[in-house]
Amino acid sequence: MTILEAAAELRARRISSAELTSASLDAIKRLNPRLNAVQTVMAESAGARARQLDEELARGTDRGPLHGIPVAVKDVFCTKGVRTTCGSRLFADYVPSCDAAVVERLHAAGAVLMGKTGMHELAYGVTSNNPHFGAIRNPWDTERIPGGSSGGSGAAVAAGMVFMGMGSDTGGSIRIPASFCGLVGLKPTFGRVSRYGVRPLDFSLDHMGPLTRSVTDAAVVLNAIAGFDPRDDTSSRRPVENYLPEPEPGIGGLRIGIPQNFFFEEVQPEVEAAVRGMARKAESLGARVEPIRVPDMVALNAVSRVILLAEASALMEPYLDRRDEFGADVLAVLDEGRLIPAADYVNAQRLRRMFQAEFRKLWAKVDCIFTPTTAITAPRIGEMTVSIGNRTAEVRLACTRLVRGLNVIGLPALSIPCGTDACGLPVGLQIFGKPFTEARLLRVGQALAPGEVPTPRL
Amino acid sequence: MKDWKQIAAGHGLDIPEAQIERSAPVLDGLEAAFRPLVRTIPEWVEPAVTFRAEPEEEQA
Repeated sequence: MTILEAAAELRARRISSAELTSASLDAIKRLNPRLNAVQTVMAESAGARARQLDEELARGTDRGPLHGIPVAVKDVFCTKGVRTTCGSRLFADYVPSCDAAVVERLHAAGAVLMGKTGMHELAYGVTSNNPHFGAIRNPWDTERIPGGSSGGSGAAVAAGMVFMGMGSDTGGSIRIPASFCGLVGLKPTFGRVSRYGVRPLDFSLDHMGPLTRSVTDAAVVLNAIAGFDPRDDTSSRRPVENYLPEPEPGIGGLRIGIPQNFFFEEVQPEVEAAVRGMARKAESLGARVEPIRVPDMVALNAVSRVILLAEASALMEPYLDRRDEFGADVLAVLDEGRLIPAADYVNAQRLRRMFQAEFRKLWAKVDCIFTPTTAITAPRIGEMTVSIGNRTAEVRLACTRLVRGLNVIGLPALSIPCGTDACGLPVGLQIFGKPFTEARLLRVGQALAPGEVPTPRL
Repeated sequence: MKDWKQIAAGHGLDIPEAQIERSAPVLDGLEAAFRPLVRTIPEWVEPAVTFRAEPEEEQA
């Protein structure tokens, strides 16, 4: 069931928020021992909140489509009175005194917060194989990773524990789990959703957005969380739109770019076939699919790595004398960041402006661009390398190389499921466009993938 | 190739040598990809970080 379907059932009095919440808790109780998706369950407060929201609705107070809907947020979002670990031993007992802006807005929209989802330590990795809180498992195959860093949100939504899991994305951390778990994942434009109250991995690459089981659900959530926040220095004053697409939106005449360079190189053949299949579907719906050349993404990824390494290490510097409290992979990248010269960081920020200008030229030619989200489907837990054709690739690079560059430019990007590989694992299509075109991306996503995504058997 | 151990020591960083050895190939790869880009930056391009002497709303 999607958020909009549950919302209709609630208003028809065929179901209550208390019942939805109880079903959500049952699913968490039943499936979490296998998936380890939800790290902190907020059973008591969720039940009380659901009853309160049922009473409100009965009195005629309707907060909108999220009213009474069970959701979860990644454990990087501060929650007043509820521990917020960021998947780290350093913050295992940290209890914030206020909510993150996104949590405030979800509360105001009437969502029922069921708990905090697990994640890759400090949001600094793509496997969600957390050394402190355990490996999170993919509902499509529990021997495989759900992707990361928002792996708990991905696994929880795919398994039907909650209707929506909020994620954060610094180099693909919403879109990678969306791809591996067969979900819709939306990384809005930088500045569209407030970062206030989210433990940062980075100052200039972090984005907040939802993982859901339908495109319309992602739009409903964006409607609730988007907008200016004076507490976030990078928050945009640009007015928000209604992001909800029509059930069957037209995309006739839309110009869709298919990159001839980079994005289809070193990609599993089944992934490429599924993505190109979606391009053909778009064409059959009247869109104009055009070959394009994108800026040098290898260079952009290098810029991304310099910025992330330097900013993340600057943020964590006060904690780096507590080396035994970090997992080995995270400690390694934090150490690497300390070796980045200051001049390189400044030059990476200068190159960022140059890439921004190059991408602007692209938007005169096309309205959005289709690429695979990840070069591979979900790898097995613990796997460090994967085969792509007759080549061997590092899992980390195969997961991030098609997504991370977009964070440098702050572009909005949507990942939707577009098929499966021979093992039945989901493949993700990434649709991205110029800044603040979330409504268009959601319209395209809805045209190509209407309704609820396929669900795994558990 | 940079001598990462020497750089760490020069900056007084307490990174174990074994860790630096593991990271060296990663850092060398990044260096190889990034260094040529630096030469392409026109001198008038400013970094994409902003500072305002006063927040915008206070200026108005």
